[in-house]
Amino acid sequence: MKKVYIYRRFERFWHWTQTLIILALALTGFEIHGSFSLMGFEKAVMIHDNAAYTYMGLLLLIFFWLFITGEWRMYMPTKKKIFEQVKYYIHGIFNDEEHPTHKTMFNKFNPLQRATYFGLEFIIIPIMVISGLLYIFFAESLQYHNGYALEPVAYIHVGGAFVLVGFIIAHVYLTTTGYKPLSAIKAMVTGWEEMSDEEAEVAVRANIHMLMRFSQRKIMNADGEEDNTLFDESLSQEIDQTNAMMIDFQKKLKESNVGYFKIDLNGNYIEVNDVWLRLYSTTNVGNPVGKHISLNRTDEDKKAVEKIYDKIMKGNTVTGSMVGRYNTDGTVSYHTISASPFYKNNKVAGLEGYIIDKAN
Amino acid sequence: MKKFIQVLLVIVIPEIIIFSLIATYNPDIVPMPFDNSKIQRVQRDSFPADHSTFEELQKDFKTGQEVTAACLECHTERGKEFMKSEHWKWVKKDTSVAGKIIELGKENVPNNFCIGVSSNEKLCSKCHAGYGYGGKNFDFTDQNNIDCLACHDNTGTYKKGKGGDPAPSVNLAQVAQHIGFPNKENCGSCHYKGGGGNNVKHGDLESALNSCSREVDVHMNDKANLECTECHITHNHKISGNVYTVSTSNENRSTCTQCHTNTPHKSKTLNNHFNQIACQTCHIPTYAKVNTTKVFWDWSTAGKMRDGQPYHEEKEISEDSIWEYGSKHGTGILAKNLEPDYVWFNGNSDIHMFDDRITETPLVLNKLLGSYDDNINPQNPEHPSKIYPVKIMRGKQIYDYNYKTLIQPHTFGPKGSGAYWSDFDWHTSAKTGMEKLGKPYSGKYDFVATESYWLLNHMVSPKEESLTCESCHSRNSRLTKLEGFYLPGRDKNNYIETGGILFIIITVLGVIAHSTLRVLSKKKHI
Repeated sequence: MKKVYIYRRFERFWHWTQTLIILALALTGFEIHGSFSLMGFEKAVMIHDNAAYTYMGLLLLIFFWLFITGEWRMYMPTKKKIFEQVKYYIHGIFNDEEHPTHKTMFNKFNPLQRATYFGLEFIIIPIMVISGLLYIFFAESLQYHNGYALEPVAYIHVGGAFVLVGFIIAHVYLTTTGYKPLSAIKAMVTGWEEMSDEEAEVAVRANIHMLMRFSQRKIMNADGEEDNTLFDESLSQEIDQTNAMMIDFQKKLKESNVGYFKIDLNGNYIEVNDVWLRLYSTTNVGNPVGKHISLNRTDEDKKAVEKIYDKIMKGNTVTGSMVGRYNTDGTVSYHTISASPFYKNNKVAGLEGYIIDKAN
Repeated sequence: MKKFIQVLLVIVIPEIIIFSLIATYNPDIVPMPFDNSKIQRVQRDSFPADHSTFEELQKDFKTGQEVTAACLECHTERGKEFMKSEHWKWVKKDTSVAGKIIELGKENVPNNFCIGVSSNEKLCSKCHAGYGYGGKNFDFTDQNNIDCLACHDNTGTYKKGKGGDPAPSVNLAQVAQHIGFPNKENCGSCHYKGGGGNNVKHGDLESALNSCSREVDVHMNDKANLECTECHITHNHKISGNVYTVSTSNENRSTCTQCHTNTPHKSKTLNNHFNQIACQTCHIPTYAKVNTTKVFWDWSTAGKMRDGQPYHEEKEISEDSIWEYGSKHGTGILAKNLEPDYVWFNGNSDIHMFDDRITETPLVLNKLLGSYDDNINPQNPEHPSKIYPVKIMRGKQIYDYNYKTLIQPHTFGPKGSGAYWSDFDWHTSAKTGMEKLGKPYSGKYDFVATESYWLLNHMVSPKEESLTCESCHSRNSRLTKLEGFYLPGRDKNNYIETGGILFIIITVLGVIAHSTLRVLSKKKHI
């Protein structure tokens, strides 16, 4: 499993602000509509109006951002892979099939999401904003001339509200269809989305291609024409090959049942692979990552592990040392370690290595 | 840790700031300076002189007429003035819906309490501001017949007696020497008692106003102690204010805005409401707050006897209402702490008179005119129609079955005179009543359901007790009966409501079905 950065700070900020504002609008809106009684009509109107104006301000920021970053393109509906996506939700998902589309920073939505979010941000919400403004200024309209009829305005606004409530329910449910049930929600909070190694690979490739294309466009020759000479086939192939090698290596590691780990200068785990997690009988990558190597060790093993650590930090390579571990389920097992330091700017920056379980 | 701080900075803290502002900021405030100035209480340009020192009043007055003669010696023009007034004539000229000038008065306008005055004039003298009133022979041109004291007595001892003359117990000289501007006891001695008893008729005018707390009336309570004439401004015996059972046009009304501004609230939204809502609608949440008022009067059941004798009985039907039966009056219901009904009203009404034919049941005796459309009519930039609170008096009264007109029965009189209260015969009562009214009677009578509308203007409650938003903006709105406009909180479209709820239900069912299938397929994507 990998974590891939998908959502930037502003995106996360606007998503959650929009979420809370829409919830507040729904709660107060349906109270104003008379569906239930919670905080009182007066308070509900006040909060509804405030939230509405805040939302309009936020929408200006959102549309500005979408326009400047060009990300509005992600919302444009497409037919590409739409049937595969529908098939996935009504069939593939029950048979443990792979998602037909992949999430990357530059293309976050599958074709169904594109259609839905386009409808949401560019149709439903503008309708709600316009009908809402007509609602708010209805009283003023009566003051100066004969005014318009409130009834159709109100019905459009209420109808839109029902659609939005339905959307929220489906939207929240569909967040559970990611790599793990909470992956998508966690990603929307932290920006980092959990993915299978394969999905991550696609995402990384897509990012590289995107960046390459971006770089390509930003190079001109002396005549002011786009210059692709630096981006010939071989560069692209080289990147692809390196990538493929790395991924192939990780796959082989997985098949050979070798656990991989990477540790920083403080002795904290930076990365572990799925086999490592399995050996430690856990599936949550958050369990080891960021924590110290001495965790979950017997006192005796703590010393052994630290000894190995010190040795490698001095620049040595260790092979075949036997250490014990507490598994997450409390049992004790043993494995051999082979590890060596890795370097950044010619200085030791940590260590990485492999563990092989001792056969019982 | 770094990630946590980032989430805190990017999501948690901004949301907390945004939502604390959303939940607390109240933009609905009229910008300062807030103008809530009230016109000062009416300043009199003169105050009554001390009449006790006047030589003309140091007499042993034998009759009311003598007192009036004394008054008129100095107040030479006041008599002529008063004789033009509605208090004297019991008739007022007004413009009908059709634009005709009509005369409205107790003679030609039936009501659904005691129905009318003709042939029952002896009772009228209890209130009429004249001495000796009691039939067709009363001289309406004799200034000395004016009862000045009924309105101007400031001693509180004056009482009217038989035939409208001062009661024998009244010390006329003493009263004459202590006259002044009319106070609420003077006005109330008649206006509290319409319909035959305290608060029977109006529901918002009653003797409790003479001394009450702020909860009962914010204007006339013991502390603020406004007099009737401070709102019903009077010049030369011409008094402002209409009662729409005998008024048809939007003239000469007494209004709240005489003293309060058009924008008396600190909330812009509330001030905007004044375009559609009269002040009274929110500020008179209940009426008949102290004593009961009559809300139902069925004359058709009258005449039952017990042991050959007329009788009267009462039953409490709830904490706030009483059922009563009398052989003379029929069935009635008296109630208090009532929630008003609400109507669109533009200041005009259509009054049903004795000559008018009955075309509908229940027959509305005074249709209050107005509608939402009238309110938003661009031809009416003043938006005359507003929602007003009313008391609806429902009754059943006698009418001419063939002519389809209301009948003025003769009710009060000695045995054998045809008076219903003595003879208990509707036929003769109708016959003699209509004879005296000078209108035809076909000989066949029946009873018809009638309604009359009484605008509620008095007994304004303290602001803490005024209606809240939910009183109207909710599913059990007080304005349920008013149609032709969309009221947020009250109204919904059944198609949208059903469709919307169905859409949500289908979504939820879809989610349940899909997730169940996912769990059942027992794959890793739970």
